[in-house]
Amino acid sequence: MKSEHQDLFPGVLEMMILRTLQRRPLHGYALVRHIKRTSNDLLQIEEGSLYPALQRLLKAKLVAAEWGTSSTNRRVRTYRLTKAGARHVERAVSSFERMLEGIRLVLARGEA
Amino acid sequence: MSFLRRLFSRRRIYADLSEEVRAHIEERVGELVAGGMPRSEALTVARREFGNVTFLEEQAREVWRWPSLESVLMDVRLAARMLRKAPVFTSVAVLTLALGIGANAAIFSVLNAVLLRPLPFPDADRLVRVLSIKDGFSTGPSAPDARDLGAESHTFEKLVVYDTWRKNLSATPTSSEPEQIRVGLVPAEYFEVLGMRPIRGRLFTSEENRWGNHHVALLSTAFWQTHFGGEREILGKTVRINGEAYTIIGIVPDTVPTWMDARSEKVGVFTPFAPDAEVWSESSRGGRGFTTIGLLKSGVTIDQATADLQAVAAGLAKRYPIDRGYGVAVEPLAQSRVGNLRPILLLLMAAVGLTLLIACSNVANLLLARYGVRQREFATRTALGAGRSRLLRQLLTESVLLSLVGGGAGVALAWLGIGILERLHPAEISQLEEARIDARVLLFTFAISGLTSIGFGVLPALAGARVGPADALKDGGRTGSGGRQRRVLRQALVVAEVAFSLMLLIGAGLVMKSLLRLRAQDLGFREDHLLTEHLFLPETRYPGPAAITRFCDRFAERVRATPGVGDATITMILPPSYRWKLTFTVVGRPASDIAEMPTANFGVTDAHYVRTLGIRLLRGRDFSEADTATGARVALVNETFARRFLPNEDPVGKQIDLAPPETLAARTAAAPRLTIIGVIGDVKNRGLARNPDPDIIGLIRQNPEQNYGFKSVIVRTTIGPSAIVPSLRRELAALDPDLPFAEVRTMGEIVSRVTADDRFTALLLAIFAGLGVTLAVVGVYGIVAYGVAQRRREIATRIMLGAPMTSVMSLVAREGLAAGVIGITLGLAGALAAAGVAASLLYGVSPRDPLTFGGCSLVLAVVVLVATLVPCSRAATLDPFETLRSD
Repeated sequence: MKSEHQDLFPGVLEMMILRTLQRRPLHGYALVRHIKRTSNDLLQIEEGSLYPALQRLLKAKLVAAEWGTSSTNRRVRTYRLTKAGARHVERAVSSFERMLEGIRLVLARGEA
Repeated sequence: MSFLRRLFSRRRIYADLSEEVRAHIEERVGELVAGGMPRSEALTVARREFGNVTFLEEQAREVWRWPSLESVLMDVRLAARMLRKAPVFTSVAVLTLALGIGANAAIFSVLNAVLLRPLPFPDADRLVRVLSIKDGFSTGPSAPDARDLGAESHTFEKLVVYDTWRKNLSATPTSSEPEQIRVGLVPAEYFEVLGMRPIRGRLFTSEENRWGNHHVALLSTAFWQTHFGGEREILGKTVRINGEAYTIIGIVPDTVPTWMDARSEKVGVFTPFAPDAEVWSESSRGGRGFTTIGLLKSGVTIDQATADLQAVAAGLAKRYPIDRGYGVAVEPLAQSRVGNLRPILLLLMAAVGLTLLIACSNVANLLLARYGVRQREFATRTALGAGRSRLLRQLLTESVLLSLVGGGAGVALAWLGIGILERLHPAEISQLEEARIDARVLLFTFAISGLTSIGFGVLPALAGARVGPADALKDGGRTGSGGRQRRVLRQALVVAEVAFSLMLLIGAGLVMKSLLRLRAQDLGFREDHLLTEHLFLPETRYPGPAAITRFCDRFAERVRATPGVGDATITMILPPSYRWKLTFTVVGRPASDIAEMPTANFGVTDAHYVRTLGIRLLRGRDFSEADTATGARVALVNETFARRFLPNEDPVGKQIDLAPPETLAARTAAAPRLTIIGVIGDVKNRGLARNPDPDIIGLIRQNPEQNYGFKSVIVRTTIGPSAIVPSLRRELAALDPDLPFAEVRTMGEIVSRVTADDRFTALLLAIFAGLGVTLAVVGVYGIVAYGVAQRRREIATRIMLGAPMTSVMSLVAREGLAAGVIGITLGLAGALAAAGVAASLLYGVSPRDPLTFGGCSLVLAVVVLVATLVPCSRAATLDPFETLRSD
C-alpha cells in the first residue's frame, strides 16, 4: 500500500515539519499542503504519514499543539514549534544539509 | 499514580488524534467539493491521498506506547541470534559467568541453610538453649537445676532437659551387626517444645520417665526404615539397647537436625529421660552437662528470658552451695546451628563475591573486544536510524540474556558443587547436609545474575554504542581501531581482575598457612601409628567398676599380644580434645569456698597410657603395675598443672584432694587423696588452637568413682594402623560378641577432624583463588593478545624498519605488565584493608603476614608475566611481509 509512494529517510519528514513550523504555526492539513506545494509536488508524501511524525515530535516536546478555529471556520489542531524545537532545527538543519550534500556528491560521481 | 495519569492522558491523545484525522479528510473533501467534484468522489480521493487511515492512526498511537512485549521479544530474538553467531565468545562468557554465579549460589545455599532458613520447627523463633555459666565457661545445667529454672521462671512456656548418649544396639531384623548409635534420652515435653507429633503410636508418659519404667522407645522414621525395613506392625516390638529390651511405642519424624546436639550423627532412637536412678535427687544438683532447651512465651525477648533465669539462678545459688558461682545464659537455638561457621561463611561469601567481580570484569572485557569488532554493524544500524538508546537497549538485552544463561548454568554448577560438598563434607560440619537449592537460593541467583549483567554489560555497552553513522565509512571497514577510551577501560578491568585475584590468593594463603601451623604443632605425643576405638560396656552385663576393669585388663592384654601391636592402653581420655573437669585442692592449701576451688581435667587411664602415646616424662616416674587397685592412689600431672598450681617447687610427692565429680558429691564421704608421682609434658586437650588446660591423670583401677562403661582403646601399631583392625575386631568378638567395635579411627583422622573447619575453609578458598587467578590470567592474556592482533601492521612495519626485537616486545608487553603491577599494588592494599575479615579464623598467623603477602604477590606476578610473554612471543615471530600483504 506504501509502494506507490517514495519512501523518505527516517527523520526527513520530521525535519520538514519543523522547518515549516519555524515560519508560523499551522494545523495538520495546512502543513501537508505547504510541504507538498513548496517541494513542487516532487515529494509524494502520503498525507496521513504526517500524523505519526507529529506524534513523535509532540512526545519529544519539539512541537506543541492546541485546538482552535481555522480561517475556514473549522475546528483544527494547530502546531507550533517549542523552544527546544527551535534549537533542534538550528542544529539539525546544518548537519542535514551536509549529509544531503554528501549524498548528492556521491550520486553525482556515480553518474560520471 | 503517574502510570494511571499516563493511561488517562493517553486516552485523550488518541481521541484528539482521531478527531484530527477526521478533520483533515473533511477539509480536503470540502476543498474538492468546492472545486466542483461530487461529494462521494471527493471522499474517495481524499482517502486515497491520506493513505491507510487505520494503519497510520495505529502508527501514530504506537509513539506513545511503552516498548511493547513484542518489541522486547524481538530484541531478545535478535540478541539470541547475535550470541549464536559467535559461539566461542558466547560459550567462554557463559562459562565464566556460570563459574562466578555458580560459586556464589553454592556458598549462598550453605549460608542459607546455616544462617537464614528458619529452623524446621513450628515455633522456631521462640526456641532457645539454656546454659550454665561459670568463669566464662558454659556447660549444660544439671537435671534438678533445669527443673527448678523451668518451674520458677516466668518467661518460659516450657523448659526441658535431655541428653544424647552413645549406646550399644544389638542386631535388628534388617541390620545384622551390633553397633553404637546415638540415643536421645528425652521426656515427652522434648517433642512438645519442638512441635513434633508421633507419626505412629504415642509419646512417653510421665510414668515412663521414671527410672525403672523407662524401657520404652520411640524410633525416628529413618531408623525404622533402616533397622526394621519400615515394618508396619512395629508397635510393641522391641529393640535391644545396651543389652536391655525396650518396647517400641511409636515412630517420630526425622525433624531433629544433626547439629542440634553438635554431633556428627542423627539420633535414631529416643528413650525416656532416665539417665540413672538418682538424676532428680539433690545429690545430682552438681551433675551438670545435660542439654536444656526451652520454648519462650510469645513476645518474650532473649534479654528478658536471660534476666528472668538469672534471677532464678541467683536464688538457687543461695539455697544450694554447689550452685555458687553459676550463672545462666539463654541463646537462640538457631545459634547452635551457626556454631562457629559464621566467620567462615562470611569469608567465603566475600571470596565468591570477589570471584564474581573477576568474572564480570572478564566478560566485560570480552564484550568490549567484541563490540570493537561489531563497530561496523553498530554504525550501520545508527545510519539506518537506530538511536543511541535503541542500540544500548539492544546491547543490554544481549548482556541480560548472557547473564541469565550464565545464571542458569551457574545453578546447575551450584547443584553439582553442593553434591560434591556433601560428599566430602567433614562430619563435624553437619549443617552442610541441609544445604540445597531452594526458592531463596534461586531468587538470590536470579538477583545476582541481574546485577552481574549490569556489572559487566553497562560500561561496554556505553562504550560500544558511542558510534556515529559516519564511523563505519571513516574506518574504511576495518575492524575498528578500538579507540583509546575503550583500551583504557579494558586495561582498568584487567587491573581489577589482578587486584581481586591477589586478594583471594592472599586469603587462601593465610588460611592455608594457619592450617599448616595448626598441624605442625607439637601435640605432646606421637600421632603416627596410633589406632583408636570406642568401647561401651553396658551396665547390665558389666555391673560396677570391678567388672569393667576386669574386662578392660583382659581385652588390653589380648590386644597387646596381637602381632603388629607395639603397646595399647584403655583410657577415659582421648587427646587432642577432652573435658573431664574436676575441682581439687592441693593438700595443705585449702580453699575457703567451693566456688574458689581450682579446677583441672581429671582423667583416668590404665598404666600404659603415657608409654603408648609416647608422652614425655619430665620428672618422677610413670605408672607401673606396682600401683595396684588397693595401693595408694597415684597421679601424673602435666606441665601446665605444675606451672600453675605448684610453681617453683617439685610437684613429685605433693598430694591432691579430689572433690569427686560433682554428681557424686553427696555419695562419697571423703574426697580421694592422690599423690603426684610424676610430671608429664603437655598434651593438647582443648583442640589444636588452644593451650592445654591443667591435667591430672589417675589410674582407672584406683579410681572406681570414675570408672564408667565407656572407654577409648588406643593402640600403638608397628605396622600400618588400619591393617590391625580385623585382628582387633576378632579379639573383641572373642571376648564379647555383643559389643560393637565402634568409631575405629587412626589418630591422624581424629586430629584431621579437629581441623575440619579450617580444612574446609582452606579448600574452598583455594578453589576460589584458583578460579580467580585463572580468570585474571585469561584477562591479562586477552588484552596482550588483543593488543598484538590490533597492532599487527604497526609491529610488522617496525620490524621491517629494523626495530630491535626487545623494543617490539616491550611495546606489546607494556599493557599486560602495567596491569599486573598496578593490579598487584591495589590487591595488596585491598588485602591489607580487608585483613579483619579473616583475623578470627587464623591461628598463629597475622592477617597481614608479610611472607604470605609477598609470596602470593610473587606467584601472581610470575603468572601475569607468563600470560604476557606468551602472546608477546607471537608478536616477535610475526612475519612482517605476510602481515603487511594480507592487510
